[in-house]
Amino acid sequence: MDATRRATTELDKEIARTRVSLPEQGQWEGAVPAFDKETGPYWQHLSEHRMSILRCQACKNWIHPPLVACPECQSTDLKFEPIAGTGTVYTYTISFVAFGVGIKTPYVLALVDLDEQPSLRIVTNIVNSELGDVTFGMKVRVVYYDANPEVTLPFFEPVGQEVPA
Amino acid sequence: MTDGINRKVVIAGVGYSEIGRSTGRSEASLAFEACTNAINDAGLTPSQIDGMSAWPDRPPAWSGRIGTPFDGPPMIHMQRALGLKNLRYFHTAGLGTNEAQLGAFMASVYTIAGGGASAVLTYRAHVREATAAAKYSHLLSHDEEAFTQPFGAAGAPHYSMWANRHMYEFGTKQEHLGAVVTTARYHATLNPRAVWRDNPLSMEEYLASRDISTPFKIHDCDYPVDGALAFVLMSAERAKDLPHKPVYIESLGHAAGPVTDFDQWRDVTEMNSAYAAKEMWSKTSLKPSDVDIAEVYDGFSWLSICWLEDLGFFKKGEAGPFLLEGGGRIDGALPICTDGGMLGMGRMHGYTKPAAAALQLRGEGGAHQVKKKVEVAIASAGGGNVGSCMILTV
Repeated sequence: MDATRRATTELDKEIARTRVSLPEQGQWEGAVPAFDKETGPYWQHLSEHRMSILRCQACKNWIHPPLVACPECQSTDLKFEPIAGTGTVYTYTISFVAFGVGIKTPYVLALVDLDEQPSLRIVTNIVNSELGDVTFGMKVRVVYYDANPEVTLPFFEPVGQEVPA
Repeated sequence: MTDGINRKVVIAGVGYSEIGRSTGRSEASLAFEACTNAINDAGLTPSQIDGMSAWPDRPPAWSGRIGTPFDGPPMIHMQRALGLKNLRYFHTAGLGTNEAQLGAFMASVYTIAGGGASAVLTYRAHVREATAAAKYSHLLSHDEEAFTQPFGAAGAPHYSMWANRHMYEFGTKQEHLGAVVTTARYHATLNPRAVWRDNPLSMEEYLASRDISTPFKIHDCDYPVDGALAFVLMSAERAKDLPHKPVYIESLGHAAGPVTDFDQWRDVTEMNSAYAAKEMWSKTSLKPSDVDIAEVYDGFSWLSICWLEDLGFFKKGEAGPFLLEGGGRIDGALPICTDGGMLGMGRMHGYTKPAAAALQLRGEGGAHQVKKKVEVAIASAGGGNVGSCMILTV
């Protein structure tokens, strides 16, 4: 890749070495998901520390966030199936301002493409990393955070070496 | 070429309110001033207005609730205050309309073209404190928002993720974003209405300013103000004896992408602008090379870069370098944000864009009038998963 193709803002050295972690246990002050009709099982499975994604039983398409029908074939024969909980960072931003109640700064907001299917995309925060180490195409895996006894949020952390997207 | 508006509808009146960082005034007070100015500019009296629209409305029954950052004054309040007693069209566009801030404007244009009204008043009013009080304040997230809000996916970082991928794929640099900002801020110094009129900004100052959400710095985010803007839209037939030149609406673009979910958008290096622009060009014989100015949306600096590319003026990655060379300034090849934009004049949402274009087409830009003759202008609003655009001509 040519040197002019810098991925992002050049971070101050000290900021780049700042480590982002999971929020402390029992300290969550942010928003939590409601268990709605279509989304309930997703959040229920997360609270049991397993990750599942809705899947069309007719064409095997993975669907996220959950819908009432498959966006590819409109089948309503849908079922939550377990997934590996691994993916790659499609894009990200390091935010120094909290855009949400209870959000601690700085935080890394990312779109992660899950490994099960191209562009099976989930919104998350990258944690257990130094800010300067987050890159495009970085391999990540789910890390469960219990926001309260009923609700678990899926954060992601780096695994292994980065590969170009 | 499919059938478009084809000059059947014009912008007959443009009205601004006072614009200020903290005016101490209500949304309704600002809206009243802008609407009255627009009606006067069109040479009409309130009884001659037969339609009214706004984006978005706040039904007064909801006034005790926590609002969205975008609420305006209740339309029923404005109708009574303005004395609009002969309406046959009364319309509000929802907050989520895919035309973004121009949903009510565009619906009004089609209503006039279809004979549903002949002179529609449309306005947008906004008070800064209301925004600060309203946003991001609830703790239980439903539906699609449940998957985004707990992670702080809203506002600047939502859009900065898109900008970051554009930088990664096409070599867009921080200085290119800075070129949008410094262009807008230079134009602001030439516009007495602009909140930043006395505060030019250099590239060095821009680069040294604080990070909000990488790559966005504080000056990449539009500047919250109090203000209102209004238009009188009119059938071309009725606009024969305006006190000034009518500004013709040539074509509207408002197509939606195949997925309209912000976080499920496939390729974030192009926005809904790509779909809106394609539709807009399909309904006119004009081409990008015919355009004199592009009043592209600048809610965040990078959105202007992406709009210029998606509108077909540049290939991906080429708009930033063009702006860095000064091409977007009023003496450049394709001026943008001639009124100072929302980065320099202040955040009044998309209504500033057709207003700035109309003033340039009428030759009333004053110190910020572009140096060449202006006959064809683009105005666009929105970014990311929503957006719409139009061609305006004399």
